Amino acid sequence: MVKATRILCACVFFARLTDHKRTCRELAILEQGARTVRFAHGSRQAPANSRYPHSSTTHGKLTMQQDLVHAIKSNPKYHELVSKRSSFGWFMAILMLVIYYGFILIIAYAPSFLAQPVAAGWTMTIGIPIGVGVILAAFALTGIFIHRANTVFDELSNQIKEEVL
Amino acid sequence: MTTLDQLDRLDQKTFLAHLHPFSQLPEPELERLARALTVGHHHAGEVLLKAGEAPACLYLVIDGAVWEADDPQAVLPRPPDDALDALKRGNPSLVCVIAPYTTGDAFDVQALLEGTSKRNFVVGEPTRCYRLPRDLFLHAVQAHPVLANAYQQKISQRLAALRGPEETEEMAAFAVAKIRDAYIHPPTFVTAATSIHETALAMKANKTNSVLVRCDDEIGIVTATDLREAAIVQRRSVDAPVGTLATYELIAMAPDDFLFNALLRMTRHNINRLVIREGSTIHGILEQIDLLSYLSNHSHLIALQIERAVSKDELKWASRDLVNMVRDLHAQGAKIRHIMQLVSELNKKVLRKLFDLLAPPELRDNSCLLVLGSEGREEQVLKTDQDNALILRDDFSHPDLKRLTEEFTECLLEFGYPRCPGNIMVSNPYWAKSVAAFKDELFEWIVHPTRDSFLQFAIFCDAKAVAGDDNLLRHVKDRMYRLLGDHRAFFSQFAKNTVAFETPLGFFTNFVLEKNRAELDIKKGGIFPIVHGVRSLALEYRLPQTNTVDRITALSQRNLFQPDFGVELIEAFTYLSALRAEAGLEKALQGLPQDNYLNPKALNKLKRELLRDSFKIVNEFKKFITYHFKLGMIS
Amino acid sequence: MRLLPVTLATPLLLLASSAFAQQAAAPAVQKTLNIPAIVMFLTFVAVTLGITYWAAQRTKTAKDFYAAGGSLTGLQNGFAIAGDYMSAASFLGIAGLVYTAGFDGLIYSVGWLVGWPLIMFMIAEQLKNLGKFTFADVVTYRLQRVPMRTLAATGTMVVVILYLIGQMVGAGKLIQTLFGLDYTYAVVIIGALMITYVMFGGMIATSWVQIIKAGLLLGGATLIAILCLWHFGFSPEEMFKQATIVRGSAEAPNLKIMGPGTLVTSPIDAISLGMALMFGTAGLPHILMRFFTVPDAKQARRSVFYATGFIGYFYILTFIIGFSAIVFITKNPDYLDAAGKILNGSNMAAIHTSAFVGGPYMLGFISAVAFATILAVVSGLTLAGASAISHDLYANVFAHGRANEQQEVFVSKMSTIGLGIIAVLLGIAFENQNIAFLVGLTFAVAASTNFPILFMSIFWSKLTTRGAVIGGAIGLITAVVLVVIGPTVWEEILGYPKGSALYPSKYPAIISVTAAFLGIWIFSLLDSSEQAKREHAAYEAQDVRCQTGIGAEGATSH
Repeated sequence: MVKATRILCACVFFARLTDHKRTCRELAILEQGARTVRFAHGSRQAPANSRYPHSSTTHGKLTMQQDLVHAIKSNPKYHELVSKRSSFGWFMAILMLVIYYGFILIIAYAPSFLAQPVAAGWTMTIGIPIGVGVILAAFALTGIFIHRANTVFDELSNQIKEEVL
Repeated sequence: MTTLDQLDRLDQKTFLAHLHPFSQLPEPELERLARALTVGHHHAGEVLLKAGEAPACLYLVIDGAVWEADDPQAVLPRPPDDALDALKRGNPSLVCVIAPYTTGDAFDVQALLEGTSKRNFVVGEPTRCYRLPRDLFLHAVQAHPVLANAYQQKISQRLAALRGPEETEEMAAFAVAKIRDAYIHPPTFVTAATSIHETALAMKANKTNSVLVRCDDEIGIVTATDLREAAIVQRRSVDAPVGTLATYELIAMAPDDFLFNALLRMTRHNINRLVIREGSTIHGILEQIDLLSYLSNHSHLIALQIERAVSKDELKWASRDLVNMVRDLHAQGAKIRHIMQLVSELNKKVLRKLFDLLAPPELRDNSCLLVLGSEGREEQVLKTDQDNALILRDDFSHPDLKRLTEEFTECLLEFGYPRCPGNIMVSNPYWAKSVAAFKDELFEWIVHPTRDSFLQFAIFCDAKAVAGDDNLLRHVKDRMYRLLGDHRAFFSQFAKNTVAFETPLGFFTNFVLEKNRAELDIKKGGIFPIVHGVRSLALEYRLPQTNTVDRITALSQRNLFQPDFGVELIEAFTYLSALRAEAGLEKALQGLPQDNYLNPKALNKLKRELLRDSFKIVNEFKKFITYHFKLGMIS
Repeated sequence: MRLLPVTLATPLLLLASSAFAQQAAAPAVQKTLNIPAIVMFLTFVAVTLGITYWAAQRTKTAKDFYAAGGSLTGLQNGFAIAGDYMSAASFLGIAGLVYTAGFDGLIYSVGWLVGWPLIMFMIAEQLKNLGKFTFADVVTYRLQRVPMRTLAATGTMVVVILYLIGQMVGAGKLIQTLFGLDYTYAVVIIGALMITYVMFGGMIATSWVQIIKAGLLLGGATLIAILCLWHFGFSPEEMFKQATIVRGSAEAPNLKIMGPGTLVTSPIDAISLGMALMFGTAGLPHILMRFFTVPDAKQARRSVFYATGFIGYFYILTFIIGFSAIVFITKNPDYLDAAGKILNGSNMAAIHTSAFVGGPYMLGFISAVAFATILAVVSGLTLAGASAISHDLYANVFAHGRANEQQEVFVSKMSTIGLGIIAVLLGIAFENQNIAFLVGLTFAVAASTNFPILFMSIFWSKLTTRGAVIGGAIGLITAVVLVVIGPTVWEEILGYPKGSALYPSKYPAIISVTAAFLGIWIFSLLDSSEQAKREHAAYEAQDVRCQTGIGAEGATSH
């Protein structure tokens, strides 16, 4: 009896999900169609996404945006910021991944390495300090990244804002 | 007599004893009147008193609501603010409703005194009334001057309601205005021997239509009409003495008399001017045209005085008048929203004029004077703290700037605008700087917001240009919107203060009073949340408006609220502001310091219910803001 | 907020009275009712709510109208983040995992923690600069509104519901242990409590709930850990030694629990689990918001640093508590049922340990803290889920963007009730699962749907709506299907014989995450529509904005 209820529950749950998705998809298509028609008829109704009707036409807005994007992109500081931050970010991310995946891969392929005692006669295995070490490494790397972001990157991005806006 | 009767009597006496002006009656009279009271139960729609009918008794409302109306059919059980709004908007179906009578109100004194009723009194919702027989009441009024005096005032106020809807406010102000409040022409004297020609020249020189003529001990008056009559109609010589033309039975009034008495006197004697004298000194002449212009628009006069002021002192006088105007308008129940706009408008005029008087032309051309905060939103009732700032054109500097800005602030202080406790004034260099410096400040406010900067930013959001080059403000605001982009995070953090204070409504929609005092904070509880929430939305949607009501109107068109909610929000906001202003003025009259506290128990039942409903709308709005800015998730 | 004490008191009283009634009706079945613990529990729940109320009130009665804005410091927000993250799963689940599997419990701790720095290094700056709160808002920046919102909302809902199950099971077991109530009743009562809390507590300062909760949880766990270590003369080595002896014998200590292999048996499992834990964090709907709690960017970053510290410290504590549990509980008849299994399941290992080291009062205290934790996490999750339904699905998809926002508020309330009911039903179905494992599944789904789209939309200019929708759907469906046909649902919940599961592993991430990325990549490249070209073109502006925070609002908004 209990089992039957549970099966039912699970079925209802997943049925709901898939059903839901399908309805959404269909509606999505309908919606797109409806929008096209509305625009095609030159209806005065503003599209739901235009939030600032007084900010002239979409065309004007786009040009203004492109000008801004262009201004930022031609600012040498922008490139300095992007290259510095991405390279540092990726470096740190990869470092973190190497540490973590190193740990995971040892678990996967050399569990016995982690299972050896830290010293003869000890019960504690070296896996435990290593695990704790990964936690500490995560903490330390975050600290390093944040320090740099709060000094170097923040300064650069503020300078860009000051210059461009 | 049963105990129950005694209890009733006791009740009736207590009821009467708490009722103005009966409360001032001596004990035995009170007892006598209380004994004569009978209770009546009336259901909605019942007409208690018809227009043209002679009232049989005075009704004292115990509970419920009775409406005074032109047409008994059109009375709907609606809150009075709606009705008043309908009056304003000229909704014909409701125009007939004049005023509601609720707990503690009496009607209709005027009908009793005059013998017949001018209007219908219709029960709006199930009502209990005490009835006081007509003869007893009239006798009491005659016997006790306290009552007579009290009612005379009431009637003068009621006068306002008798005129057409548009006139209501100003008429009401007029009803308590004194003659000295109106413009009195300074007297021009001539002797009886002065020729008609010279008299006419004197009139021309003094821009007046009448002169006073001294003839021995008497004083007479000669008007332009008299001269015309004599010279053109009667073909007298222009060199004839003017003494014979004058009227020597002057109709004079004291400057402390009511202005409406002056109008009555003029109407009764069919004359166009009155001599205003106090004892033997003649203050001048009150022209009917000036009286009527005061009547048609009191504020206009002040505006004119402000415009015409050529010195600080004249401006100071003009701005003094402002306080009187607010008091009068408000005491007479003018819509608070209109008072707010009027006062802001006039305050801005004062500021503009003062700036023009003080600032040299090159400064005027290269700067922009701003009003901020509530002044910028046009939502102040009294002269509130100075909240102003000055934007200077980049690269422009004036050697005397410091002295000028300080003088500006000092002058305003002298005019009765208190210093801003947060020092947001042009005399503070932080608030008087170049476009570039303001842009830098905005950068800090938006990019590195702190608690203080949110406050400053909020005040700046409501900035309005008053004098100088308003392009400067536009540049700064452009930069502000560019910096903001559509950073939801900033908007949400900014909007967070909307829900910072509890609405003082408890679980059972009871009022929650402040600890240690039997009052609630109406600003924190209701006004601030609406103002700030609406400001946050206005910022997000880049609305150019600064006034809260205007902002709500603009937001209502953006598919944010349910169709009626915008209107409800405006009503709630206006009502709360009115209550706050009332309480504030009340405190000002009693000489108490200004605060935002209000004792809900001091309100009558209807007002209390409206306050409750307004708070409910505030809660609804807070829920909306919480949802819109995702405050539940980020705060 | 003022309503909160009243509304919360009612179900709590109900809970207490029904517990006593149950006790009277079937005294033989249940263990003796632990009155001091219950008193302590009710007191502490009341105190916690009281403190929260006070803290919220403190900011509210401040004289300054702007005192509430931006008043969270980096440290406070760090606490709040930690509070959001340290769910019942972390506390009860990891301790339970360590109790059953020893060392392997650490894999979960480490994986969950590592998610943080990765978010920080890779996407936090971009998200913060983009200025969008929810996953759906981010991905609709340049992609099409309707399909993306549909997908985002669906993904968010699956994640929220799965996460809710974990919390429901934890709370249910807790109440069952403490009050001796039937599990089903316990879960239903908690569901009701949760709905009330979210519906009426919506106005309270959520951050303060999280801060206080995190403080209590950290304090409580520190206390238990100290009491545990005190039993071993503050020597971890002694603790490990005794644990191996308890699980084995004095002559032949069980050293298996000291190394990997008991929980994660194959290399694929280990990598798969690691992927889910690491990438899942970024896909959690209620975590993304935390970057926006503090308006100042510097403080926001600092808060992540503090949070990482708190969470790491907390995981080390749970590890100690778990190992102590092995020593104290494994052979202690007080905490075992007739079959010799741990009373009310391994999820209760930390709770039993607190009772063992600190007596009934400690039990009451820790239960109350855990309970408050669950309530707080659940409220954040439900809010996020309800907003996904009301804003993404209802307003943008069903109502074609024509609904007004006040209607959304109403829909979001209804969704809260709906989510509550679903959570209760599934909570009953998943009764005997380890909570940490359930949360692991949640992370797997989040890592397979939300994360790939989020990541690609920020870094890959060639992403198109079609690619994102198909790839995301592939990820979501693969993850869900693999869970259903995996051993956990197939064998343990649906009751098919052991070994009959169509997918042999409990951990779907390695397949579903890869499938999602591949799907997004392939279908984006195949998409040569006009729309796709526009989306490519819009990337430049988005990228500039991600880097600097300057720029356009994006193609769509709301």
